[in-house]
Amino acid sequence: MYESCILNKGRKVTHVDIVILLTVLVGSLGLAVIFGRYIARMIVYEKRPLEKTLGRVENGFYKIIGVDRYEQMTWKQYFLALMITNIIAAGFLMTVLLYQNSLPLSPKPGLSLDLAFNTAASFVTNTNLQHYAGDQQLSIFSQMAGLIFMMFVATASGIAAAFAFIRGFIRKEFGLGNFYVDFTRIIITLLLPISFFSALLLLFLGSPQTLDSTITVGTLQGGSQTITIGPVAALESIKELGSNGGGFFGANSAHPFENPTGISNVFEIILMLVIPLSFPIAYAHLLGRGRGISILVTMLIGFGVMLALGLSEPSGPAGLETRFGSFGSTLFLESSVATNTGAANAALTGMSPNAVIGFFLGMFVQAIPGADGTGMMMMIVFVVLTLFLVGLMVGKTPEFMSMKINPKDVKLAAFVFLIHPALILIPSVLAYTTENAQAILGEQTTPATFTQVLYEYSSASANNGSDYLGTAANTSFWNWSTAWVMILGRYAPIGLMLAIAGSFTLRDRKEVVEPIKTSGFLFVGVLSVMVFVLTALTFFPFLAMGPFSM
Amino acid sequence: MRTLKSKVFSPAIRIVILMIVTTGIAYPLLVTTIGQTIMPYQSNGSQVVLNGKVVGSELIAQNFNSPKFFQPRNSTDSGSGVDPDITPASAISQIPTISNATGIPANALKTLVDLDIARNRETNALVLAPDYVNVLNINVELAKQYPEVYAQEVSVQGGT
Amino acid sequence: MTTKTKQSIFDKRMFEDSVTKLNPLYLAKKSPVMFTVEAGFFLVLAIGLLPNMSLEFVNENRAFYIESAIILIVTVWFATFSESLSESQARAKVDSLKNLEKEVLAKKLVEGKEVSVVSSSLIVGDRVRVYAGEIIPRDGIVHEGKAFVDESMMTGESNPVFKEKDNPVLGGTKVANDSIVIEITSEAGKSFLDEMVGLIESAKRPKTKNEIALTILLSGLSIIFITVIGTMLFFGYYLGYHMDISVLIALLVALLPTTIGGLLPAIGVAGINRLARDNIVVKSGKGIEAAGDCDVLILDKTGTITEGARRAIAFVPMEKFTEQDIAEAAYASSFSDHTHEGTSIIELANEKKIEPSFMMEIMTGKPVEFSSETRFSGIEFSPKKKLPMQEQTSKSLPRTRVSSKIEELEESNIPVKILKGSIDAILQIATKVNEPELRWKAQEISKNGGTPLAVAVNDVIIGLISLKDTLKKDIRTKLDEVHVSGITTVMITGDNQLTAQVIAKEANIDQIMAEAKPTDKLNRVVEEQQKGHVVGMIGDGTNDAPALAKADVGLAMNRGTAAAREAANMVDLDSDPSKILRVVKLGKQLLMTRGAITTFSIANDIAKYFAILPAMFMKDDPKMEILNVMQLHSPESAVLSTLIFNAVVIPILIPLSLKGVKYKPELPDKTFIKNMMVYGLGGVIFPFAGIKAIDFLLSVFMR
Repeated sequence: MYESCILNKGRKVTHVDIVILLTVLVGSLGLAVIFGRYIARMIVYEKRPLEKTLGRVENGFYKIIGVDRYEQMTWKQYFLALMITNIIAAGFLMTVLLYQNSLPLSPKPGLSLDLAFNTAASFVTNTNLQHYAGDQQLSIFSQMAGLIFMMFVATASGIAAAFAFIRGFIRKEFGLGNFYVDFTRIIITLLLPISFFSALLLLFLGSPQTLDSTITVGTLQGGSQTITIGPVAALESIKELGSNGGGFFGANSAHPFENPTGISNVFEIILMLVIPLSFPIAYAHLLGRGRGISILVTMLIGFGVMLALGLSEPSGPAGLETRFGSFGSTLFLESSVATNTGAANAALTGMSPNAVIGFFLGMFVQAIPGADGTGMMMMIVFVVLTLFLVGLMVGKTPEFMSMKINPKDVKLAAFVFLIHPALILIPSVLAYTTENAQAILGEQTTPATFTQVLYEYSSASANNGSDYLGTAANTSFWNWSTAWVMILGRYAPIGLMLAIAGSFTLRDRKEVVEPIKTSGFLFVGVLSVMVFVLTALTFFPFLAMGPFSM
Repeated sequence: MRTLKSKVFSPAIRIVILMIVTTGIAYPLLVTTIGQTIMPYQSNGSQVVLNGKVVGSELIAQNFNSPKFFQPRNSTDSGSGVDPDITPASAISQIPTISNATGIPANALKTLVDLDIARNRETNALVLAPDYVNVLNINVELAKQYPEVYAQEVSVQGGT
Repeated sequence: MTTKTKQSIFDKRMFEDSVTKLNPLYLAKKSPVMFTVEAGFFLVLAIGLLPNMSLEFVNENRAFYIESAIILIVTVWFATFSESLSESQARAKVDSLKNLEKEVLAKKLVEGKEVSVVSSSLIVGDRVRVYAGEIIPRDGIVHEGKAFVDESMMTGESNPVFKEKDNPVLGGTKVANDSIVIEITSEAGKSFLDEMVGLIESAKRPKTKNEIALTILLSGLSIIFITVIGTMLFFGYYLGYHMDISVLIALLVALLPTTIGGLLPAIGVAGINRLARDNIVVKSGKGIEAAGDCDVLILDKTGTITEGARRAIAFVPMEKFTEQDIAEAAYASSFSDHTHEGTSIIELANEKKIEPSFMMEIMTGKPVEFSSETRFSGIEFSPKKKLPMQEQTSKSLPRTRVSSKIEELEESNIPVKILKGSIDAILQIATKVNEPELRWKAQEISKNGGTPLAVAVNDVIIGLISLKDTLKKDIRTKLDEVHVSGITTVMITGDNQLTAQVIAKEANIDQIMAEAKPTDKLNRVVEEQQKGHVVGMIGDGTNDAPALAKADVGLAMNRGTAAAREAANMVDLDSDPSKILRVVKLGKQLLMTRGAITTFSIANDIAKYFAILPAMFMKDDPKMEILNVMQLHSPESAVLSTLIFNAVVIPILIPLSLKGVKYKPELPDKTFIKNMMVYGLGGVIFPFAGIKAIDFLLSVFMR
């Protein structure tokens, strides 16, 4: 142990690390350029590659669903459709989890009500906080029809919300789109094809894919070993692509079946980053090249700060996987937390305090680059708020996209920023005052255990899903409290942000030059500082009391 | 109320059912079918075979209680608890012990370690992972090359 | 002695006001931030006074609590003081205006007789006679008579203003000589003066949209900080820190945007005040704010950009005639034209030493008045009036072609008409001309920025007069500034395209609307607004009223018609159209001041964290020493110096909020970077220095 610490301290960034970083950057940005363009076309219903075929398939779906593809929704209708679809899907998942003992494919005992509720809330909100160990507690049917299905639903809902949100700034009085149409198109023509090919690649790299739940093998020394297995590859791809992060195994992406090699590690990082980074590119296509790129750069600066924090102190080797090493683990985790995926290829306890501060930064900001769809929405709210202050500073009534920012927008945006700290801090206090934190972390509260509590609710509120507590938090209090934090942390901001879009779409647009360009170095600088200062002012004391004192 | 029901609930229910079938059932089944057909080795957990018998998964650590084998990491030391690999440094530090217990010369063991490292490099396109040694693979290699030394430990000898 | 007449800044009422405003109920409604600070004051005071409230969250140092409490309430008082101060300034203006509005006896005309009545009993339509030295009882228009009126009390203009029939006069101004009959045009309590008083009195000042938005943002921040501090208490407790409630309250108060929260009302009042000082009466706060956003200004050429008094600068004869001819004809046509233009034509002729040979005819001729239908003016004389004497004289003089022409006509007993007017108007009556030549020469005049007038003797066009307007003093500089701020200027003029272009170029105007009709103004305003521009315009005529009403910023001239004043959202008492530029500047300054102080306030928080967090944690956790970058003397001094800094920043910034952030016309990017450096970066650094300095002083005293 001592020896390895010495080894680590002396460790420098190797050429392997640099190649990994470059591969991830080039891979994710390169794919983001392609998918960004594609997503832009999806948002404005432009012709996509294979439009005829895709259109035919989609029309089949619309017919079965019973929607008119041309019907447009107001922000309220859109939000209502999203909510109801999510509630029904969550109800289905909860039922599956409660009664998996009587369902096919290697049935296991049904989960307790609180754990089932927590898990359903966790997956429908794109959080994937796991208070259960999937490999031990879930049947293959639950993993497949329950979780894989829900991963598509949650991701598509977040992306759809972002579609509607962005349309609010492009369209005038035309509605924000049709939720069912967006939802169908996102799953059928974006998520499913990418997941399918990614699953095959992961399969090729070593992820198993079978309907068996275990295999029993003899060991080299003649003993017997039971290995949990299942449709891992199919789950893994949408898990990473969709900012989900919920592992097939309790060990998540640290488990060799979920993430078998260095290549799969790099590929999974790219999968996590690709859609969040595609959104600013789509934005560039729709609302101005410079603007989109500036947002992309701001996101990358934020992500860079997280990464720099992660690399500033060596992590591991305890809690890390040998095949990833310190760099592969740090890069994976920072990417995972930055995109609010929450997948982990190492135990969080193995990460250095600075790396953990980086994780917190990602979860507090939620937009560097944030989860699929919602990260972009959050960043735009930051942009609106930044422009508000910028406008005042130059003596102009603040405007966004040549539309005036009025008190109502500021009110809604302020709520978005208020919800997050409230959802993190107040439940954390409750966890202590009700002794539920002490119950699972010990009577003596230390900076390390406080960090774990703070992390749990930060992760829940940011719909991130990475956590320290894991199955230890499978108690009634933690299940219910985190479930509600996840639900409020997901739907309240989405609702508020759609309301902002809904009010912008009714607003007059100008054809005039904006007082301060929303692109270029100056804007990137101001936006970055704004994001950092707002976040730091809110959360600085807690970082000081937690990871900083660890 | 009727319009709300027909306009909101009905499409929501239908879309959920449709997606359960598409994404929850059809999609994983299709990947399974393809996997089992063209990549059965990976699909079933990358099982390592020695003398015609499965001796474990190359991706999952297993216990070795004999000092003649390379030892995996303590299960709680890794992120997964089943880390199948060890660092080159750890492998090299184990060489004297194994050499003592088996009588296999240290440089022969070192060669095996280097070979395994090279093989893993290839697996990772040479540059996408740090160097590491897969414990099961190197131990299987030991058992293959020195069957007489491991006769007692490896009961699968001869393949009953 | 002067202190008595001059409104003292520190009057008693202001102090009383600022103390009254400490009422928590008032603060809860007006300033949630300050209300929170005051709540903190009561809590800390209670801890200081009531012994042994809690052993867990309170320490033994009573004096510390009392000191903290005092600083907190002083912080609140500084905020209410700043508001009272700006209100008191407003009041000074109001009081001086109110003095004018005192009830006076008016001489109402009833069936031709003067009846003395109190001014408040007058109704619209009443006529009153006002003699020299008397105060005009209410707003109205001159019905009869001419007089000089002293308006200095309203406009600051020291020279009495000449008023004749149909000119508007203001209630409260004084007739300097003679007497005039005035028809009252406004109801009691609704005169211009009342409006002005009402607006300046801050109680009625409605918050503008931006102010509301900012208030919401600040409330949001406050709630976040309350959540942060509230939960810190628990976490600190469970982590084994000795959490002191007063230190937490100190941190909360320090983090709250007290600076901007405290100064926000003052900034708003100051905006209206400063306009009032410039003699501009604002009818709604919205107008000022819109002024800052103005990106299109529609300006009348005449009166705003140019002096509005065109002068003749050249006589241009047609090919068949000489300069002498056209000068004579022009002279004749302008003889009875007493307008500025007419006089300038005579003057030009005199300058050229040209006098018509037919002076007698001219002097006895009948003037042809300008009318909007004919659009020409001049003189007409019939040959009958010919006198032998005159004939002789004229014969002795060298004959010009015009003279001979006139003689010819007279001899043929045809009445002579010498007329001048716009090219088109003259062409309607005079056809004997080479039209292409006329047009070409007119164009040449226009190209040089002049306005051509054609002069005809009966049906023959003799030539052209070139009239030219001169740019107003300083207008070029002012417009250059406007330009740099990114504002597009549009000049509206009845002149033709070419003339307009020349003036526009000289004055640095972006766009022109030449040959414009009065209705074009409204159309242009609507058009620009549809494109998303915020339009500012000035106007004085009744036909400007719709456009003034439609424009985002409508500045009416006080000398203009009542309809225009009613439609506009601000009125300039000095009737100086170029003041719209000042309004725009002020609007920008108002927003910038809010933005700058907000940024400053938020940026300050960084240093405050670094002052108070180590004070809070260092005793129990030495690792927190790293945060103590300022190396403050002791935890107590750290807290007190932060609170003191927080409090004194408010009075330090009062002058800035009353005067406004310095505004220089330049690219917004540049303004932004500069303000960000001063108030953003400065806001980060300044408190580090300030807190450290106060801490140093405290450590000296505490020893």
